[in-house]
Amino acid sequence: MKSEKKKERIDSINRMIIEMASGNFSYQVERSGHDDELETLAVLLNMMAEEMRESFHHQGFVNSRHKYRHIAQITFILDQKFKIQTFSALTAEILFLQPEELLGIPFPDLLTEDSKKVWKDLEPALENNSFNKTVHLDFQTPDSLIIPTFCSVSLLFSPNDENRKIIITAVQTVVQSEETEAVLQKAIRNGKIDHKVRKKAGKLRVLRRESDVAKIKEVYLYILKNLDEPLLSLKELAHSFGTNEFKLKYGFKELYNTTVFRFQTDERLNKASLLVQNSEMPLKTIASITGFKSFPHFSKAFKKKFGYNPSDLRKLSRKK
Amino acid sequence: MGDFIENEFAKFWISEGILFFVYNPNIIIDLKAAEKIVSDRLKLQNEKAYPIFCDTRGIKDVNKEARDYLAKEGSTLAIAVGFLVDFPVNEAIAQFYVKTNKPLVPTEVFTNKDEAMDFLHSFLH
Repeated sequence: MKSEKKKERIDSINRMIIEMASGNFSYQVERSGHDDELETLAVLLNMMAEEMRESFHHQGFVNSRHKYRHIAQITFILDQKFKIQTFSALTAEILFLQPEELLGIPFPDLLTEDSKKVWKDLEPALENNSFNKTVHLDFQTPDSLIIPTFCSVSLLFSPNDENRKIIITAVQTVVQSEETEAVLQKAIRNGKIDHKVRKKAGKLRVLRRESDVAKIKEVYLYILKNLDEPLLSLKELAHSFGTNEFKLKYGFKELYNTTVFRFQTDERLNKASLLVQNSEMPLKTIASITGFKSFPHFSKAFKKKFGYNPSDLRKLSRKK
Repeated sequence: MGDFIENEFAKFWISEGILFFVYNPNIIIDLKAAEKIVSDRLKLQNEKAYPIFCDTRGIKDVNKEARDYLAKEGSTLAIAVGFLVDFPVNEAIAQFYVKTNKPLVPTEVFTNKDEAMDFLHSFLH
């Protein structure tokens, strides 16, 4: 019995590795509650998948590698009793189920125990006509993998109360299926290629080498660790990290989708906001330790980003 | 603010220049939890930065968003962090966090409380 359980756990880890090797980082191994080496492996794999999912998204900015990935949608339509009436094409595939297995079953049956509870809490609110909410729901696949998603749950408009329907949608990144590749190829043949696709494909990729990426990441950490310091010029900054101005400027944008200086200002303001809301530190001190030259300059930038003056936000958070 | 705070995730207090942070058993940390943890800790600190002793043995899981938040925003007003962990799962989570999410302040992982305290004391002067 014991070894059977162990085999199940190993199978689920193996399955996870295969999914990751084929570019799917959307799954998680279900936690067993044991505290042993096997569980350690499962936890590390789960965390690795989360990190890799993000670097894959980075590559999305970097280049047109849509050959390897696309966004698939999980969509369900439920009846009033939360039974599945229909769903979009890729939904069953993502959940490792046959389409027939999904039809007519209660939607919560697809969820993990924890997410069943989340769903249960939502149910009463679904009576409300204008209901629309985004919740974190984990789907359970037949072989004990978990698919964490952010689902948007809404009521569909219906003139009478009898026929209410609920739509649930979630977006997942998966490897590109042949089906969409065919669509793309057809578009190319017809000479009708989406403007955005063309633009992305034509984008120059600046960070070609691992060492270039590593240097940009160093700059990123350096900025975070020295928020109170004024930044060197791009050229000086690039040289002190052994790269050049061009690579720093465009490479930073490629990796983080923002500029070096914009990133510094945003992070300064985030830190300031944290201190404004959770400490009694004088606002002038906050401005100075987050690297702003003057209080008016700080206050103006703060209001622009958060919509509040620092002093108003402090008053508000005191009331809480 | 008083010098002892307890929320649904942890208990924390300040003693002899070090902030002690002890997670409750079986805690799963998501972004919301991480925000609450950092916010309550800052309230306790009264604008002063401390070395932090963090007993993470109660942590069962912590997701990517929470790890990133704790590494970045969670480093605010922290001088250094010493984790006290249990072998093996808990220790693996902590080591992964330190290596991958790269907290902005010096952070080390210990299975022995005295060693963690020695590490933190070295930041006191």
